[in-house]
Amino acid sequence: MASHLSTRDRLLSLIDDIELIAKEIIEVAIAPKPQKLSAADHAQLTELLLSKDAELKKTLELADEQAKIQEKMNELKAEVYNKDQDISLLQRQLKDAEQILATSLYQARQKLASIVKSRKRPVPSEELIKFAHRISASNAVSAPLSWQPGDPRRPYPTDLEMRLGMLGRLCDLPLNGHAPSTLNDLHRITTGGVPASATNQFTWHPSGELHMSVGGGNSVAIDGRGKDAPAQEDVEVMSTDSSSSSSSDSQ
Amino acid sequence: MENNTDHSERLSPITVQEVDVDFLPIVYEIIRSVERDFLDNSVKVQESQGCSLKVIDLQKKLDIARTQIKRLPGIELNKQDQLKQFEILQTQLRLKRELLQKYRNMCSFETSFK
Repeated sequence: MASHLSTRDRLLSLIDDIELIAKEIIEVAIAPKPQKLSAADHAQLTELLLSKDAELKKTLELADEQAKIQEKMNELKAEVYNKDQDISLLQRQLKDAEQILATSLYQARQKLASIVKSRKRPVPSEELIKFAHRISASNAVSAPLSWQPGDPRRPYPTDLEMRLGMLGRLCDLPLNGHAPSTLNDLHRITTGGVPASATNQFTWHPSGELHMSVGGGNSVAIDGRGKDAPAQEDVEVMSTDSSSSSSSDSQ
Repeated sequence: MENNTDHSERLSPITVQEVDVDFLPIVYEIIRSVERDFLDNSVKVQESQGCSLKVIDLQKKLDIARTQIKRLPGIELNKQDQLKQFEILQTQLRLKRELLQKYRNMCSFETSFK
């Protein structure tokens, strides 16, 4: 029964017992002679008081031990709390890593799939070099090193070539509901003569601005450059092969 | 006021050595003064008053001991239950350490492609 009680309750009940016994002893001592207890009973009460006092002291020793255990438990609790913090931090980091890895795995799988695909249909390197040579031979990538103003070899089309191309011809499409229904129609339109209205649609001005003429003879300046000058400088630096003759190309 | 006292009692734990449980000397003194026979009446009255004071002292001492016991740390449970709790905490800490170790050692990646 007593073992189920907490040490605090045991101590408090022992004090209650000591109080009761002490009161009993004092009352007996005060009581008139006929009501007094026999010496044996008195001795028994005294012994009981002594045993309770001894038990109280013993229980206090136990409380001292428990206080030390409690101290260790507090340290353990603090350590458990720290570990909890570490675990939650690690879990969060692992979760992040998992997300990053999942993305990388997805991309790696895509790359592996494309590797497998390329292995199934290999292209010989000679073929690739030949094709690259064909592309660069026509100056479609960059102008030759010995390029001079007026040289038609360049990696972009001239104004005239643009107007003759499909994009230039698309501007001449009739707007009265007749749209080219077949590829042949489109081809016929684009391979026809250059219309007079298209010839002066874009004109270069010495200032370097591109002007597009709209109805009524007005022209709208299209600022091809960036808003800030450094950006424009960057563009000029990057395209050294082809930008030096923008004004003379339209001739 | 009493609530504040209770609160401060709960906040400041004391050690067992600070608990005063020496009740026997006072009980002994009380009994001795009761059982003494005095011929002089005035001395008898004086002794009786002294005895009453000692009884009040005993009562006070008992109350103080109760209050002090309530401030003792780690005695909310009996020793067996406390040791069980201690073991539970130790197990918890061991498991958490193992979990942390597992988390730290789990970063071994398979790098070979098949």
